[in-house]
Amino acid sequence: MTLAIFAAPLLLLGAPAAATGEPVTPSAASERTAPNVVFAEALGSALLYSVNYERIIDKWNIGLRGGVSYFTYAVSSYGASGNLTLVTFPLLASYYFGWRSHHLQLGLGATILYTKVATDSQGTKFDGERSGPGIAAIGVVGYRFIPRDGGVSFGLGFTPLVRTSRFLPWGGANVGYAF
Amino acid sequence: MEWRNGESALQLRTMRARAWSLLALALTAAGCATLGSIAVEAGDFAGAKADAHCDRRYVTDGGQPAAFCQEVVATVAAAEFADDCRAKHQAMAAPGLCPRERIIAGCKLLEKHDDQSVAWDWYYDVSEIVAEAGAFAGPDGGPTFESRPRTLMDVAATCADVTRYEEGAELAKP
Repeated sequence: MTLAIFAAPLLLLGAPAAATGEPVTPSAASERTAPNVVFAEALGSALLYSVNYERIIDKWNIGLRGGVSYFTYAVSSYGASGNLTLVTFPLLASYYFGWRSHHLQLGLGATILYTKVATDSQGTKFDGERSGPGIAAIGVVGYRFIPRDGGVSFGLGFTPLVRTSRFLPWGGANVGYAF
Repeated sequence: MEWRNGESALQLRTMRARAWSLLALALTAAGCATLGSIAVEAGDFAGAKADAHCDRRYVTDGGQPAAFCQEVVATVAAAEFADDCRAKHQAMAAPGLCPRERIIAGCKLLEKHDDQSVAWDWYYDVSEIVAEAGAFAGPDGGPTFESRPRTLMDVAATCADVTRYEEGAELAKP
């Protein structure tokens, strides 16, 4: 029973080789044949959603991600009023612990934000303290499944964002395809 | 008896269907509320919240002036608030807080808003406006201001008026 409890995380991290006595290191695992991942993230580092590309550099166990998100919403139902628009570009470097396809992800980066505030029907702008262009520091602690030989990838994580005098405890879930 | 059993089973099925419908409705409502809260949090972080005010002392197109200005602090709906101000009250809307000059006191509205914004009604000494425009400069020769709090106690009584503030309001000083 105890063995099963300890073995479970190892199996999750894809370390069956440990049972055979082989050393388990990333380099010992087979070469990754699918270093590219495209994925969509709900909430997460881009606040609401994002579409992303990530390049996995296998020999260093890191991933470099860039994404984009565009959101626009009619705050006022009156004609001629302008929408609230939010554009974000999350940029993230992640270190992946674990072997084969299952990973603990630790990431740091920045999200470039641009918030265009809504205007009323007379064109008056209602600027907030943080509207306009801005930048937020981002972090990620989460789980990622990225198949080494390609296929569906997914993940879930804690994705806090920090801006001047503002901390946003946030989370995100992603699904995509590795190739 | 069998007919009664059949009726009971039918009633039970109907009750279950209603219960599931209510549960689904409650979950949908909770889901929408959660999504709304998430969107508001994200919008606040991104800088989508702003302050706006609707100064009811100054109106256009035959509107009825009132001796107060309403301000909403940290709302995502500032544009809608401003458009409502002009369309419903023919009053003057602008970004930021209400002017502080000549305020007697205000009422902080206790009603909850989806975007966690807070609203105040600030009541003014409008004697100068009345002196300039006359006491009957309202629509159709009516009073310039239908009601005019003149003292702090008048404003306190207005704040306590549940016909005006259904969800309550508390006296505030500028």
